[in-house]
Amino acid sequence: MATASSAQQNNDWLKGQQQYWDNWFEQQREFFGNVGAKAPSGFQGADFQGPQAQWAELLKTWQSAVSGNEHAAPDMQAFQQYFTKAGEAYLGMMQQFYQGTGQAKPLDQMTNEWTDNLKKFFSGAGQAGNMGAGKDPFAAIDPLNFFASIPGIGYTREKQEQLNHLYQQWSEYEAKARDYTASMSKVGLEAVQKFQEYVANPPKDAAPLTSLKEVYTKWVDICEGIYADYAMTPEYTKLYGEVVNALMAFKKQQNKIVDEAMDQLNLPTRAEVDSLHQRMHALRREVLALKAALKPEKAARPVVKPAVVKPATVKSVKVKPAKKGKKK
Amino acid sequence: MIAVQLSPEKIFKEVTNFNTKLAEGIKNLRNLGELPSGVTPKEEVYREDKLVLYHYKSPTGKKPTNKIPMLISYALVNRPYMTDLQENRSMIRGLLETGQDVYLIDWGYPDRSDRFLTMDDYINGYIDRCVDVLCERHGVDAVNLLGICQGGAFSLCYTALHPEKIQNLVTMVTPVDFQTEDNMLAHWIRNIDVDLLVDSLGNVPGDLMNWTFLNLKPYRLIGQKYIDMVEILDNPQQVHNFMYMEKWIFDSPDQAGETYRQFVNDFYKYNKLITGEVELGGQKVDLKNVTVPVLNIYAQDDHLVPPSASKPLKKYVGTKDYTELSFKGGHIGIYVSSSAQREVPPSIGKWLNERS
Repeated sequence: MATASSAQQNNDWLKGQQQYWDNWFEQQREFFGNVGAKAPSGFQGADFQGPQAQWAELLKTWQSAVSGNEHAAPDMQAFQQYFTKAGEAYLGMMQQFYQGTGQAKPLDQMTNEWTDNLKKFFSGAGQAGNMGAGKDPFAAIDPLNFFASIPGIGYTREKQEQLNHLYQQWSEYEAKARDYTASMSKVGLEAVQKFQEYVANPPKDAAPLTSLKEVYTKWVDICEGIYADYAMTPEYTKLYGEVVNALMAFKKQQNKIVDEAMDQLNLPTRAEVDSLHQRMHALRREVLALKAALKPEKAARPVVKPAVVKPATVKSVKVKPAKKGKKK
Repeated sequence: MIAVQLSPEKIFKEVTNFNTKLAEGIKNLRNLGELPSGVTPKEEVYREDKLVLYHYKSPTGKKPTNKIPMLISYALVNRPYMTDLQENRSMIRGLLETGQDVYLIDWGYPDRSDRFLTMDDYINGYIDRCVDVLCERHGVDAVNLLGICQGGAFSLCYTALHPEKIQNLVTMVTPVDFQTEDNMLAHWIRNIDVDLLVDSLGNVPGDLMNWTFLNLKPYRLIGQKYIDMVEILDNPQQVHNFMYMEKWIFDSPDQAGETYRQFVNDFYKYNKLITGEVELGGQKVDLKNVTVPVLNIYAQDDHLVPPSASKPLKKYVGTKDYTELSFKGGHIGIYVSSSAQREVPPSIGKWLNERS
């Protein structure tokens, strides 16, 4: 049940929303009424950077309104933040189209601008994933793992080796993660291209997309289709395996170093606890086996036989499709 | 045809409507209240470690007519209350109404002390002792076993190793051939070093499992689903239904490390269930030993266990009484959709009543 406090939180949130949208509509009217003439209030002088900056600013305000309510309970904050994150693509698309309508842009231009922005985003991600040695911050610290590949010497030799090993594994994971990100950006670019093709030459039997939601749904369908194909390729499964294995190798080495630190602090280590659990399970299995061996033979019970003995055939039953069957 | 046909008025209206629903929806979300884990009355009849064996009672007062008790073995992944999510979305209620005497194994939430539990411990240990409890309570030598998803694979192993204790076997959305072309999870696991993964993590976190499942359809499950959610936010009942499902999806126990290691390596990576090479407690699992009647139920649109992974069962089991039930829906819809309520439990009940 909602409490008085939660009702207050809700009111605050609604009020923030209302204020935001009132402000937004007002500024939209003001801006589009003054395009080419003067900057609207709130966007004067150096701050006036055109509609793109205005949208970015307003979207930021909205996100802040929905996710940064300081009165909201932690669970509500989490919801608001998650929703804002999950809906970014949709909200971004809303922004693009909504702004375009105010500028009386042709629809195809708005669609192209939206897909061009997506293309830029994915191209950027791909480049980030393909960073050369010169641009890699890790490579800048230690090109070619130079320091980490020097063997340790002296009293702390073994510890140096462990830390070098940890660094090398982190480096390896970073490299694999970048490869993976780069491959996923290719999926994004391909989806943008396919969407543009769809808009330029829609199939003859396709229904027109008459709402932002339908445009978004079509976009998601295309992305899922391309991703599903790519995710089954040997290239993807290799990259996926490499990034997971590299992370796990790093994690394993990290565990080892943490265990050594625990040992020095005279605290139980994970390895010790694991050994105890292993022995405990082995003992339990022995006890269960002994108990089973000591159990007296049970008296025979009357066997319940099947009421119907089916003939030796394999049959297949198809359930009729439900009229409104929901699929998750 | 022009692909995108929007007008400024429509866009204004849509944006406003979206925001209004979002704002209104917060009220419904705040009024949601507690989301219970299962709704049908039940009593605990056996407990061992984290495991609890429950006995269900029909809320309508209907007494069991089938003398053979039914044991449900759910997957270790996710929680078994999917079978009893809401009053009008409960496979267990449906089964009770067909006269079954329903028991369910709740595996609980394994912690690090369970990391060394093996598949042998689960199948020849926990399941076997639950079967013994039922046999003792009902004075029978065998029970009807219903295995779901991974629990179905466990049930097949159990039946192959203890055929004398099973009267009839029902498998639901159960993978048997783990390496069919359309099985995305099987593709992904091929290059994963599962031993390294378990050695590094101990138990496999439920969140990691969830992330993997979400990535089967990332654009839909991580983004679109929550945009769609806004559409129903102004409807308290639909919000309620959505959140029940949301709770279940992310209520994910960690996986006992050694069991995960064997299951993923032997089943997913090397497909040993169909080659007869799975070994439990020193014994090979031969599906030809499954000679009891088998009802195999699969979902036509299942993206986690595609029908191609389930249907091969008939080739490998030794039974002469094999029936398939094909349900039009997905991996979850088979438990919770309204069509599932109408079709699945009555079909299972009828099939069992004819053979018990």
